[in-house]
Amino acid sequence: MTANNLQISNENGLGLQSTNKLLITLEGPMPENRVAKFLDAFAVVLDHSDYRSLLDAYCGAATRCAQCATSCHVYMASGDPRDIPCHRAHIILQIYQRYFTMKGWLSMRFGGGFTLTEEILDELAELVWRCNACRRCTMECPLGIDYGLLTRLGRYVFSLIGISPKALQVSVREQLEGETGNTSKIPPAAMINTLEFLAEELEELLGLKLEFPVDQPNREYVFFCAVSDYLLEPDTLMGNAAVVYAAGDWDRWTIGTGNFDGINYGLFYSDWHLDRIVNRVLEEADRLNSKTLLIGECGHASRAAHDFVPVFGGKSTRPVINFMEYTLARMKEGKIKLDPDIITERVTYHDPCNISRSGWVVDQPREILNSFVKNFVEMTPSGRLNYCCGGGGGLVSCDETHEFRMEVAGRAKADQIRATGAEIVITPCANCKKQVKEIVEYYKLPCEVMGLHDLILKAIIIPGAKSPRERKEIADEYM
Amino acid sequence: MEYALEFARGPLFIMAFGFMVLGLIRVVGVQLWFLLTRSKRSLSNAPWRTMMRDMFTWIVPASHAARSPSVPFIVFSFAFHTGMIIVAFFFADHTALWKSGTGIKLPSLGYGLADALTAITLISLVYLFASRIIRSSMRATSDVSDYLILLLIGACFVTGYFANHPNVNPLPWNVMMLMHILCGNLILVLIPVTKLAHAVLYPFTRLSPVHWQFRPGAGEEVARTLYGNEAKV
Repeated sequence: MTANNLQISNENGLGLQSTNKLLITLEGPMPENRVAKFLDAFAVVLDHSDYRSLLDAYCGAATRCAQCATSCHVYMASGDPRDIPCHRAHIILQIYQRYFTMKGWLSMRFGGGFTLTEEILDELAELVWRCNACRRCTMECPLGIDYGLLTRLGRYVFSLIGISPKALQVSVREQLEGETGNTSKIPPAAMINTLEFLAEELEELLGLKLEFPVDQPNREYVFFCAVSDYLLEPDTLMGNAAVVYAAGDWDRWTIGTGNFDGINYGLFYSDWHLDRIVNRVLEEADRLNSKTLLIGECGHASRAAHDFVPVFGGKSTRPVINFMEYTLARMKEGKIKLDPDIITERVTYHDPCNISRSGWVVDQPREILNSFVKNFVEMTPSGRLNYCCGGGGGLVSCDETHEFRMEVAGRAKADQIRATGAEIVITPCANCKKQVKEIVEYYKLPCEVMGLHDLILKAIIIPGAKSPRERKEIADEYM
Repeated sequence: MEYALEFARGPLFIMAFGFMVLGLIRVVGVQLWFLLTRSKRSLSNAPWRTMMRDMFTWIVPASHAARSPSVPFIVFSFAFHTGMIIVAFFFADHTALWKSGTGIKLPSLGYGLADALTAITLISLVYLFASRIIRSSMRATSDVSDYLILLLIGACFVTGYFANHPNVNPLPWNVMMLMHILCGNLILVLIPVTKLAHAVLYPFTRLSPVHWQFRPGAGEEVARTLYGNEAKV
């Protein structure tokens, strides 16, 4: 199977057709008078932000050649022409052109053109949440039109009039205005309890007595993961800790109790939230006087920090690295040794769109995996061209989208995984892990889903600790 | 007829050309103004190397076509654009116009080569036109203007070919030439006001990483404008 002939098993429109029904659950009722409200909000966004020139360029240039359709995993599965990226974009561009440009004003004067109706607006509201904003289509667009950015702009304006997913909205409210200050509502004391639990687990596994550094000032690294990892992904966190310990950096990192959540849903739908959440992360780094933000295995958290700390950070701006970059750098220094005889299963790697599409984190995980996994196989396509898992753009956090994520958005990924014949799917992203685990269950794929550091934890050689072989034998006994 | 022909290739051409130039100055000017008024930081943050690489690999899409799900589209689209641009700028009769109009002397393309490029352009155009009808995704995203613009470009090439080949030309030479010049003038006028503007907007549509550098504090201003100072999430 190559990129040229990947057959999505539902290509001819047998899947869940869009039904002109909002996929997401709103917090309140659908607002009345929404055409006027939407246009008002759009006008305010245009006045205060820099979207005009982008929209001007796209309005002037978009040729609607539908090349984007050749790579959209949603359209390939649904077969619904309304899912074609340039169709969705065209609605946004038409609204902009008609109501906010001279050309639109002129065409209106001469009695022609486009009028925004409630039906069109409702269709757009539906379509922007049927898109994972993964930007795979941009890679095929001859003009490089960033449909993910347009989807996001549409979502942003909708969010300003009360049309946004309740699940994301409630999480962000807790993160920015709630008591716990994080999306999973984990009080700092509970997070510390989790760290103690992880330390006990690590002691049992490795035979090492460790205490996680909490609120330590003046450390090189301050660690932020998707906060849900504290509840759902203990092995990833233990893998992270094992790497830091093995690298001799145990006294160089810390976790802050003021803010330990890397999640930034603002990336998916709101400039306001994005900006504020980035600055909350930086406030904690300032408080602890840490030099570098070390972001755990999470695609969108990594991108939100890496791409937007320089944008919104002001004087607090500081370097941001993804944990896989950290691990590879320590490996290259010879500080991390991985036993090449432990992982015998066939392993594949799913690239989270948020870190791979720009080419930022593509080679690093492969270099790590190839150093200790004998049977590594790529998905097709992979790297910058990889398909989204179907949970991207915040959809995976909205339970009401489950059927859509399985039947439509996740179908390409299921086919890709099946074609590799892998027994282990590695994906270093909290959102992708949840979605891919659900896909594996839904399509009954014979494989296990885990993070890269979960796998590293199995194979890491730490002097003075139990060897990977010993650990494997113990684990096998429990099986 | 002679008067109409002289008018079409004289004042009308100058007006059409002038309209195009002014229109394109506006279109490009807006984009340049945006770039010049961006904060230095947002420009230096953008991954220029990746953007430039993507720009050039798409102009000569050899590397891209190899892995594309739609190789024929890329091949024909490339052939269509290349043929059209070369003939428009470098065909001997056109370079003579350039010379008389602007004083700029461009290298000239002989009749044989121009015929070959015309054939390539027209074949590619037929493919693109047919694709918009046959392929369901392209049909779904096309409207009348997408077909008309292709027909107009096709008409320009066909009339130009006939005007230069009297032995196959079904109409009097001056009628055919008038049609050719009118089609050409119409294309010039349409360039800045239709999707043909991608001819000059191409580099700017690839600047989305710059556009991802949102203005700091803008989100806050939007929220306060809409909901007042007590704006809550």
